[in-house]
Amino acid sequence: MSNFKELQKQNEELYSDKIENLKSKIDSNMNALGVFSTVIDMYFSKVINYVVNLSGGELDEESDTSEK
Amino acid sequence: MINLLFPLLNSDISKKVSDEELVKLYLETRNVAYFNVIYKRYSGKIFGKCISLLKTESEAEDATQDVMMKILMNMSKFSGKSRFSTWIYSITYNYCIDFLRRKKKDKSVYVDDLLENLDVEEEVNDSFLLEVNVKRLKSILQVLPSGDRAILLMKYQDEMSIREIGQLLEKSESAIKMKIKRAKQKFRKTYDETYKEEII
Repeated sequence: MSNFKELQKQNEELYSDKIENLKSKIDSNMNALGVFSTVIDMYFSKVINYVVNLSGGELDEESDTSEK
Repeated sequence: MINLLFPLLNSDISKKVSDEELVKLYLETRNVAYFNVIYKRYSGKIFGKCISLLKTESEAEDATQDVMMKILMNMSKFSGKSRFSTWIYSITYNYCIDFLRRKKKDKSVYVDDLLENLDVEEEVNDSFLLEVNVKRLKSILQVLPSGDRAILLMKYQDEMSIREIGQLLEKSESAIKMKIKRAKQKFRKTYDETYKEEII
């Protein structure tokens, strides 16, 4: 093992407790992210449809640009 | 809870699954247990790099947390063209370099330092750097400018190719070769100054 790799290994061992503690913080971030993405998955397409309907139905890019 | 649900991932089998397979499995199933294996494999290495580059433990902790979240969020962007480890380290280095730039802690992380007019000194052999004992290596790296420290870690710790480093820093291969050469010269100079008495 090269001295650079050995240094890396030493750092890993030296800070192993901190790294373990970090995992719980990341887990809570991941849980929050999971809830957020579930909400997005469930409702985002419905919100988009609702907005499209509110703005006058189906979007047609060609007619939209020709009008301008 | 996850550990109970996915006992296989805690067994020796998880050690045999490649990084690329884990990424694929995670993307297919979104099962956090696969990410946990990646975390176990790389969190220590990422933290080690962050502390080498940023120097303080609190900054390294925050950086590791942010980098792990970036990896998780961008997993689908991993194309498989490079090794997964290289991809992860690229995210880590980019994060740390950006962080240092924002803080303006160390101007050496700016790209302009490539253009500085250093005397063209003799090439420092790789064997010199690789034969320095770990304690001295650590102390010399700590006093080198961040940009030099980062590029030496990329080359000698992560064994990234010149091309990979060039892609990461958005520089040509010749510019990277020059930067490595200068970083090695600074390492040698610092080493000689620090351990002058012993050398004599």
